Amino acid sequence: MQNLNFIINSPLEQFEVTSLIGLNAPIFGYLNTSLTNLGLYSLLLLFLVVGLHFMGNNETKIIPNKWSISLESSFASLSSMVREQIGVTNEIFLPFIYSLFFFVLIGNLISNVPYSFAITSSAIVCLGLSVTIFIGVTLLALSIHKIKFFSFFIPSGTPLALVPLLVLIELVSYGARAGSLGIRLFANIVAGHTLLKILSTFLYKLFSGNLVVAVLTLIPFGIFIGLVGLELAVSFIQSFVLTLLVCSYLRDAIKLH
Amino acid sequence: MHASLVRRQLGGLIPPKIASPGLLSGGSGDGLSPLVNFYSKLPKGPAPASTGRGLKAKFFSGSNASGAPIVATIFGIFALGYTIDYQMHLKHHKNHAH
Repeated sequence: MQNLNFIINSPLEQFEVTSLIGLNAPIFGYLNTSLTNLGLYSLLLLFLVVGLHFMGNNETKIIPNKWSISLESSFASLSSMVREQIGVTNEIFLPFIYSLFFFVLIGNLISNVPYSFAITSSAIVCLGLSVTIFIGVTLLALSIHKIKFFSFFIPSGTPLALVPLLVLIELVSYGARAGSLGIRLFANIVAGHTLLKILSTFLYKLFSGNLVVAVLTLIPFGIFIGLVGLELAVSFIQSFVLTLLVCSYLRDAIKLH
Repeated sequence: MHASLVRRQLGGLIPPKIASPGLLSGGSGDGLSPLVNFYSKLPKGPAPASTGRGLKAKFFSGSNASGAPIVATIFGIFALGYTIDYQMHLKHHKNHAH
């Protein structure tokens, strides 16, 4: 009865941030610094994104190769997104949007490799990102429109009696952007990865049973493969949605309504 | 009938005279020599195959571009993740320690 020895770990264990290498030293008022799996995979992400663009660079040759075609077409689609959403005169935001998209996309894709760590599944990364963007966008709007920025909270044509109530509602909905942007990303990634972990635990149990059950398990395994494909699609969709929303927040900040 | 009127009537049939060696350089073709000079110096034939060593020349440049680096990266991330998982806790479960 070896099955009794089997322990099902929490499916949320994969999201735990653990220290890989740590340094505790009684200097500088008890220094504690450590490289966590989150830090390691962030460094890996940086290396992969920079490496992709370094290796995919066509070196000013006329005929592109397959790598530079894919990079150029993703640049073209992000560029057209920025021009459509924020406006042709505001292409200065393209580098920001481009790097944001590749950060989230490659981070999501790395997390789909078995045994790897999903950095976009940690609330601190996603919320840190979205709150930083929110503060930046608000500062941008304040610096462009000065005091007129606050007219953003009063929809045009509001009766004066309703203004206090509407300002409150608009203020809450504006502030909710800071959270919703990050929560949307990390909730999607956490949900997908947890589902895959739970299902793969079941499949492992079924496959390690007797032969007939193992052969029959190929049917749910097919569905599981489909779900992995869905998770890959989520990786792309979520990074696209995040950049699209950042674009629309920037447009709101620049154009007010 | 006026000549230009006839030409206007037939304008849809007779293609307009845009350029010819005679128009550009008085028939001698001299005015085209910079162009001829430029295009005759361009390399001809299929592009030379990417040579050279290094990862970029082998897997990324020209017609050598392939998906092998993606597969290698996936296996690399898998190996890294498995190594960390093994060292952190998998080895403690090896003989059903619990």
